[in-house]
Amino acid sequence: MKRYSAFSNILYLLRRINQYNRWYLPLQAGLLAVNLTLPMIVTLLPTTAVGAITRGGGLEQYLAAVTAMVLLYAVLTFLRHYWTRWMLVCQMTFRGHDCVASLAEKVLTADYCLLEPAEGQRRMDNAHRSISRNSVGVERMLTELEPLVRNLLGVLLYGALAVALDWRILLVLAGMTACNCLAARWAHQYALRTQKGQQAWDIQRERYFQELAADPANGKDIRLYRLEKWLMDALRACVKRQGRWRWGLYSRRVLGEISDSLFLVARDLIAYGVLTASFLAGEIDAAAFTFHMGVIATFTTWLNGFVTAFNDLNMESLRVCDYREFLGQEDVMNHGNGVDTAGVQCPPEIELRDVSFTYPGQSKPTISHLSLTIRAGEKIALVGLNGAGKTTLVKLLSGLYKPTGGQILAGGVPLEEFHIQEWQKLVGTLYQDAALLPFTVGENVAGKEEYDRETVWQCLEKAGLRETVEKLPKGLDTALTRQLEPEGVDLSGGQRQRLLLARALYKDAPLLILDEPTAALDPLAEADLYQKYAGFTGGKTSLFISHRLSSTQFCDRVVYMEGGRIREIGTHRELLERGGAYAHLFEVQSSYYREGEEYGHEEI
Amino acid sequence: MKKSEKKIDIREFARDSRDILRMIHRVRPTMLPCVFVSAALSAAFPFVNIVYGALILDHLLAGAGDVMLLVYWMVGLDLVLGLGSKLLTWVTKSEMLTTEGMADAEVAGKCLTMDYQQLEDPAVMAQKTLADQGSNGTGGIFSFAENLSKLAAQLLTILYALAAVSRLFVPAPVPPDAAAWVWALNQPWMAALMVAVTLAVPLACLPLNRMASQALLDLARINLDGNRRYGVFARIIWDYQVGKDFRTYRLERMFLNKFRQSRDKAHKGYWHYIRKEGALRALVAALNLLSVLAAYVFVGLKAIAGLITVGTVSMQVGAVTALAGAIREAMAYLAELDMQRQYLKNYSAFLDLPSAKYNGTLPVEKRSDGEFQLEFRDVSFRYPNQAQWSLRHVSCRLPKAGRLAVVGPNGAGKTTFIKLLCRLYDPTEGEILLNGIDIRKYDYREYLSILSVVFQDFRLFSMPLGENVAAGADVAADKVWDCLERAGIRERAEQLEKGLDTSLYQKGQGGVDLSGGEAQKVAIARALYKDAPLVILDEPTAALDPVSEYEVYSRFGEMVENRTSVYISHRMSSCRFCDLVYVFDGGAIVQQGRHEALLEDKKGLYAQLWQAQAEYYKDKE
Repeated sequence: MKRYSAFSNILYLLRRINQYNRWYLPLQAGLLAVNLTLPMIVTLLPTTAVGAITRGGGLEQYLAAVTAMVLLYAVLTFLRHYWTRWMLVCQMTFRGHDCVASLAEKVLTADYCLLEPAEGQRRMDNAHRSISRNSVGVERMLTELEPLVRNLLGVLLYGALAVALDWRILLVLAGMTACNCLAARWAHQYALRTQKGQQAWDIQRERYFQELAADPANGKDIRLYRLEKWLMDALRACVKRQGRWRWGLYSRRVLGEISDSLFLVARDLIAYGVLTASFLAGEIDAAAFTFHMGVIATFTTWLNGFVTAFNDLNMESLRVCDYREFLGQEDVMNHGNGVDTAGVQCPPEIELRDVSFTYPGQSKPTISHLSLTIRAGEKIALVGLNGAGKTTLVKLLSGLYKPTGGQILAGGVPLEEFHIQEWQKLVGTLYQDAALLPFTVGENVAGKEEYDRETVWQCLEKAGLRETVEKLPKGLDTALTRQLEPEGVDLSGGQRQRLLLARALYKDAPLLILDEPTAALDPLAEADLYQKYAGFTGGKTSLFISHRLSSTQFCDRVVYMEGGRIREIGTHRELLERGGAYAHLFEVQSSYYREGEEYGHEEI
Repeated sequence: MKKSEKKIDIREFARDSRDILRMIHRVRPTMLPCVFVSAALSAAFPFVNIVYGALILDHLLAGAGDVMLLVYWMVGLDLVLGLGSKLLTWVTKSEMLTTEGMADAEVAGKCLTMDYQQLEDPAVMAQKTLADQGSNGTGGIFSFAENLSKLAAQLLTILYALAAVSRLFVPAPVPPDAAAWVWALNQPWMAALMVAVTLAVPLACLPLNRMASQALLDLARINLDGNRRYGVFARIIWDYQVGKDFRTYRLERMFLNKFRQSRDKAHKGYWHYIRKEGALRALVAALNLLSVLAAYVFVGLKAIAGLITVGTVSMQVGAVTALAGAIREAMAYLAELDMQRQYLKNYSAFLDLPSAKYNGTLPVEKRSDGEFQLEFRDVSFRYPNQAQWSLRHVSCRLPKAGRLAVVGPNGAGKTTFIKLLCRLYDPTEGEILLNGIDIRKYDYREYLSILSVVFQDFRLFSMPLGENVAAGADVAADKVWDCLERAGIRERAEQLEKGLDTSLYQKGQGGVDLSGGEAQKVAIARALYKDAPLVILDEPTAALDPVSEYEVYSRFGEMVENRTSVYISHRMSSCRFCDLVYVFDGGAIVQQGRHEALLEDKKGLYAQLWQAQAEYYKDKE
């Protein structure tokens, strides 16, 4: 993976924030100038005062000098406070708006197979973390930029003045900086070494327990099984371990402070020694004495500021890399010129030719050497035990993953020759763990904000949800859940499943895939769906996946999968006659329903 | 939200602060001493240089020879105070973070133990959001303690500064022919005037500060909703599973559009308020320099008049400036603390929410014969703030040591029935009796101990497998293995590298992901481990394939032997091996009896439900 340099990251961020807000860079420069001038005034003010008194210029001169200085001081102070606030908001909105939006867009449109594996999620989490708060990553890097430049200029300017006084002071300060850096580095390395392991884990765990405690979905089990002590003990342990980790880290950081304090002793002894001697020798006056003491104290502040900003910037640069890398990830599917999907006959014939698929990071294939031709307009029932590979097959057909071996062809054209989004237009899949968005009913069915209301009503009717939606206070414009709209409604499991079905129907794609669409439906609703199935799959090629084997009977062919392969294929009747695995499965399920047959657990 | 316009009520403030400090002391006894000692040292530190700097300059101007002695003193004091305050700062920081973690944990603990009904109540959860703000972030314990220590440091600074300034009050001997202004400058009331001016500036700025705080408060109010909305969008974005739907239905355009609109709205408010607040604060900062000017004028004139030494100029100006700054800061901290105090009140109010469930005291009689008689007597129930009844006039007796099946269409009230049985909610009307006594009269925990439940939406936790089954850290390994065996998942568990110590759902940390069916079996094992006399299974086979379903069915009898059991399922087949079937519809029991008897009534709901499923399995051979 390509790593970007800190310099390249700075340019990248400046370019982007400049596009977002044209005022940012000019104001940042202004702030820099103000921030550079202010400490000079702080040093010059007492010097001027002492000078005006000791040089005996009289009352008027003293008052004029001091008033002018304080006035300048006040103006700069105002600008500094106001502009700093302004920059802060500018950076915050840039991060919270522009950066989040571009990351969100990438997350929502990048190839799904890049996101689902553990590695993809880790990358996503890292990218997210880099823009999650103002104290890390993108915003922190922008915040540290001005101090870096300011302190560098300060170091150069005041360094020159300090050297003019006595070169040994510079030596002491250089030693101090070096020791501080070493200590900081040591602490930083400790942090890096430990952060990835137990510490990161504890933070994650603490959040996990916090969230699970507040989630009502967990509440029932927690109360019935009295899990509260078990969970609290685990949570408190995380908090305590983090405390111990902090001790480890802070005790290392403190070392830098100790060395700083010792060097400061040396600095002050030298500075006072030299200045006192010069004063007694008559080389400098009281004002110069005050001025030089100010210079030396301020120089140390510049130096510390520079070191801190430099270290922070380098550390945050790593986080910004996470962000840029995620945005820069290249897709693996075909996003270039593809074959025109208009040329594919409708409904399409789908051919799986020796298809194999292994999930990234796994050794065992989930699908292995599977070949199947689904004829145009055919209704296929896909059955099999848990873990047979059915859902994975759905993902391959929906264009979420690429087969690791073999080929999928639609109307004779290999899938990878289509632009992936063009192919996805042809597939309407109702996933087992599909989700609704907290928008309106109509928007959820249509998947966009402007839609044809009549068509939406028709789809709701077909899915058996029209009556329910008609009774809602705002009909199609009723929001789902109260998350975004206070008048939103919560649907039951069965209603949600029907709404998802309506969405699949609205898409009206020539290939319809339904993965366990009846799991949450009661028997009457289930039977109703079966009866209507032929109606809404007319003129489509379709795939129906269910553990309820009753569903196979209105399909043209049954495909029985086991261990990533097709074990049996044929019509429901053929397979029953063959008396194989499918027949056995059907037998098991139907035995309960056959009247007169005595069923009792004792026999088993 | 007009609180900031009110004057701070000092007595209330003192009382609440004492309560908060007590609470902090309870959560983490070591924290407060660290905070205050560290504050005292940090406040003293700058005065070393102010005082000694002046002394040194004076000695130099006077041509005295023992200057280096003063330098040694100053450097030595700097070292001790600087080092001490820095060390303590780190210790304090660590203590504060730990305290904050502990305080957060208390909120989680409250969520784990409050009534389930409260957990589902949006009003209570809104209180939790307020409590969260009370335990972390700007309103939190961390910053309360930090601000309190800063306030203490400022008060100390005021004392130190006053001590330093006191020299200005002492008149110097003046020659009798001195000018009138010199004579006037020498009077103590002039020094008092200067201190008064120093005090007047921050006081005059108070209304400006208050306006700025109001702008921030207004922003916080708007932000609360904006942040919540952002959270809704963010959860969807970072949930990769939803990504499948996004790609298939191309939802991103609508989604991002709404996301941007929502953010735009939030940011507009941001700019408006922050600009206002920023301008006001900047103005205050600039105006405060007036007191610096006053100090320079007064002290400088005194020096010019020869009433004080030149060395004292920088010291006195430093002290006066420090005094003005400290007064300004102290007032700012006081205002902030007052705001935080109100946040923290929300925190303790949440922890002190009363519970309705813990009023019962009766113990539940322990019986080994499973003779527990549960009865619903004219029970009606509707969810809080809902007009519609979920259950209406339900009366029934659960079979003693028998098997009960509960069926019915979606929304018929089956799950509500179970929730009442588990005391997750109490009936709105009527009562539920256990062996003739209202279940509300039993000790809540005692009552729950007779129930083993596998909910439809059961949850396992990201902890070791064995602990999940044993529902705690005390794991009787043999018993766990036995339960896993009976739930039909022992084989899978034995294949795990770390066996019972394998964590669930922790990819990348050596944990395993369970499929829906496997998880359901582990949940069943947990119910078996609890070994309670009343077993409730809500859709326990929904995620299972036919073979696993068959296994569960066939073990069902063994699982519930000598126990009262309730079985809810959309798969009608489950009714056949139950002693009694309740058919729910529209919140009431419309039919009850044995499977065979219910089928007789061809027009009845039960027969319809049965036929709808059985049809596909009949006469096909």
